[in-house]
Amino acid sequence: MSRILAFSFVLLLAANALGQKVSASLDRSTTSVGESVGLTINCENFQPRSIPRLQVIPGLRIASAATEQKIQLANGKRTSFIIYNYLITPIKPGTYTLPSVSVNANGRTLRTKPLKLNVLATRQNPPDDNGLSKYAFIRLIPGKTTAYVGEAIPVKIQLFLQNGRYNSPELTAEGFNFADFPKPSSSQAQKGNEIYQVRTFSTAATPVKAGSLQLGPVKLNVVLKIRQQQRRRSPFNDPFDGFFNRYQDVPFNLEAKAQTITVKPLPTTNKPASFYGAVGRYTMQAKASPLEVTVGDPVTVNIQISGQGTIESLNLPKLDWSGFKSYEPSVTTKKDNPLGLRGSRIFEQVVIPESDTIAEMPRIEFSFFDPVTSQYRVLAKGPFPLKVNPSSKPVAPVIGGNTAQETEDPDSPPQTDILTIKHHLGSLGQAMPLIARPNFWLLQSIPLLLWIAALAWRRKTNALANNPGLRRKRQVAERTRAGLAKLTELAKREEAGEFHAELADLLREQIGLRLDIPAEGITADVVHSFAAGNKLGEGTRGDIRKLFAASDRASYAGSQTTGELKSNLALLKEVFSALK
Amino acid sequence: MNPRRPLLNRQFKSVPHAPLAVLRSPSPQPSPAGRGKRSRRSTITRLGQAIGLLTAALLLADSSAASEAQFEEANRLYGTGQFAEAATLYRAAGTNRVSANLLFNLGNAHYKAGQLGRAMAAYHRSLRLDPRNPETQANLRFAREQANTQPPTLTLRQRWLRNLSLGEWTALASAAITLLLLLLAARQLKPRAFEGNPSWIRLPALGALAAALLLALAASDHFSDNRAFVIEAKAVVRNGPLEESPESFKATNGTELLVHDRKGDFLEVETSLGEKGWIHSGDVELLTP
Repeated sequence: MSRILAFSFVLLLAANALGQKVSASLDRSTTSVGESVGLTINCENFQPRSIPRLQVIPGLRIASAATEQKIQLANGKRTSFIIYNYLITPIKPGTYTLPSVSVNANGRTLRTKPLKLNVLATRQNPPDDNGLSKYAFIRLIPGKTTAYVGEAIPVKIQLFLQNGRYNSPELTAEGFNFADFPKPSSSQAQKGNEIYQVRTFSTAATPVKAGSLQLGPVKLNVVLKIRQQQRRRSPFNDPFDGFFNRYQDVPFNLEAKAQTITVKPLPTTNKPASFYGAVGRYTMQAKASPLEVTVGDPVTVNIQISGQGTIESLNLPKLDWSGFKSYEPSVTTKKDNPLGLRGSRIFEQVVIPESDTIAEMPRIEFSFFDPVTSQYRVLAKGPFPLKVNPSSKPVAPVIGGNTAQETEDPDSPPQTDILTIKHHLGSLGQAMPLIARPNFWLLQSIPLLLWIAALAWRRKTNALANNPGLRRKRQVAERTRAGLAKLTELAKREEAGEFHAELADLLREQIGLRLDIPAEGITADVVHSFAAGNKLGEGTRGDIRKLFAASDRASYAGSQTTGELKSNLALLKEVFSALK
Repeated sequence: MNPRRPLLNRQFKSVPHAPLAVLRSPSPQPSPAGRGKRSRRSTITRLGQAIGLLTAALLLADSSAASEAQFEEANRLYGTGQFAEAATLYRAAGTNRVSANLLFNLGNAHYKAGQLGRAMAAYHRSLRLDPRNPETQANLRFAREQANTQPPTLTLRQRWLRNLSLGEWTALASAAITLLLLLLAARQLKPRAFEGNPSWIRLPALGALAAALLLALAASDHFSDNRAFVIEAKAVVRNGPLEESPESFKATNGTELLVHDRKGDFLEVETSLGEKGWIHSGDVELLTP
């Protein structure tokens, strides 16, 4: 029993010991003199007996900042963290190595890995920045300044911003290909008394030609939020002045200078025949299956190349082996980091042995240039033994390239040549599609205009139907137009009776419209009404009286001359214009 | 201070006032003589327009006749085995106006002349005009087999939309929208005829909306179709857009590529299998030049 207990105790200790880890990390690996960097020592699943002590490094000022404690529960497992934060402020430029830190964990000593910190000289503010560069600045940090053609260079763009908004950086560099910018990482930095939010944009620049190339400049537009200067307090000032608009937006264009990168050409000596431009450090795995087939059966060759470099641009030479029919490989890429500088590229190629005399699949080679050793390296796998059994029926060549949208009748005989030309030209049309021609849109607008016209007509009709005054006005106008023409005709024919009856009718219609009363029954007495007094002038009322009197005279006294009729007609027109 | 303000002021100052003055002044009544002149001028204008239209129609007919003649001559050259010359003449015949048959024959001439990439591009253009033509589909399939290449994978939407040409989609949507607008106009003119029948408007409206949406998708598919075909025996695809860039792989005649970007004389392309690189624009024929 005691043995079991002792064994369990040892197991518990071992489990505890296995879960105990310590790690150290810097929030940035590049900084400048006077600009602090955060160092974090993370103790996982144990509490050190004392605070980890950092060695004194000449050129760096190290201060303990804060201690945090976290507990994480995931999948029923409890993990505790004790995090010690330090602030490192460089005093001199240079490259520093932070040595490993020893931490005592329940009697065991755990060590962190050494860290490198690159310290740049103090940044000079541009002379024409109006003092804005103390609120924001950027820094362009290439991972290396010497590289080979095709070798990916990690590039970081650090934006230091106190308060404000920012756009994506614009990095220009001729002779480089760039990876897309993934989401920037965030941290904080202190420089003097200023606290900055730091956004680090990462990308990879791959030089495509040799020579002394310029990486950059990099431009970035920010909108700073700057606190406005408070006016002197005075009882006469607005008490809410500056309360709602304490900050003002100030646009500011940041720029970091270009950096020179020396790009060396790939050596031409000892260049393997199988080299297809891969630069980096890679390993290769290859397998083929099945290894026993019948003539005409497919064999799948799977080649996986893993390592560091621009994974997406890796290519293999096509496996054009004699005695095999081969097809284009299918390629998949797995990126282990967002920039695609580490990962795997898998080529899956189908080959078909065409003869039963084949005994093996040839060797597969992949070559790359290793920029660390400055040498070409050739990776090879195979040859793979292959047993090919003779087929009982003749082998028909399999032709790929059919797609789902182009199906072929399986019963139709195989096509041996293209179908012959057509002897009719067919209907000719413009190469430009109909939708892109202005004439089409012009024609298409006709029904739209028809609809708009119908809509306008309907509105007008409805407005007339709902407005009796307007309707009457139009009817009277029409009646007047026709009546005046008739009067002219009657005056010529000297038909006085009919002329004056028509004249009186027209006059009644116009007066009724003007005074908004029914036209029927209007006589010369209407001029004495209150409405007429208000709406008609004295002269007009006199003329109306004259016209009604002339009409009455004509009814009882008989004929009148053309001259008289015409003068009455002229008077009527004057009255009409006065009534309008 | 707003730096744009002076510019705005200048713009306002530069607005001429003369048209306002013209608008305010009463327009003089034309005299009978003036009316006569205007009438004569209007007649001359109409006559000019009629002559212009007639000339355009004659020119069109003339160019059609010229195309017909070139087509016949190209067919004759094809028959005598002069395929490259026939292809040149087919191209000349299709300078102004094209037809599906003309592009089909152009594809055949290129194929027979050993220009697989150009042939496939011509077949594709012919299928854009007549997408369900079985003969063009068969020849394209055969050319693709000879080139031993795979086309870029099409999405279900692309396959479905490409059953009709863009012209057919346009006609369909135009008809549906015209019908809807005419019905709307009729409803304004005779509202009683539409009372109690809301589906007379709703169904055509739904149809027009669907047709317009499909036309927009088809147009987007048509104009963003950035395929290219390799026209050289072994075109070099490089890692970068420069002649000095290292070679990435070689693409054979007839390989179908998708174009993503252009820098100078180089196009960033991708094969159907995901291989990417930069190819010289002179080594490919673009489906949409």
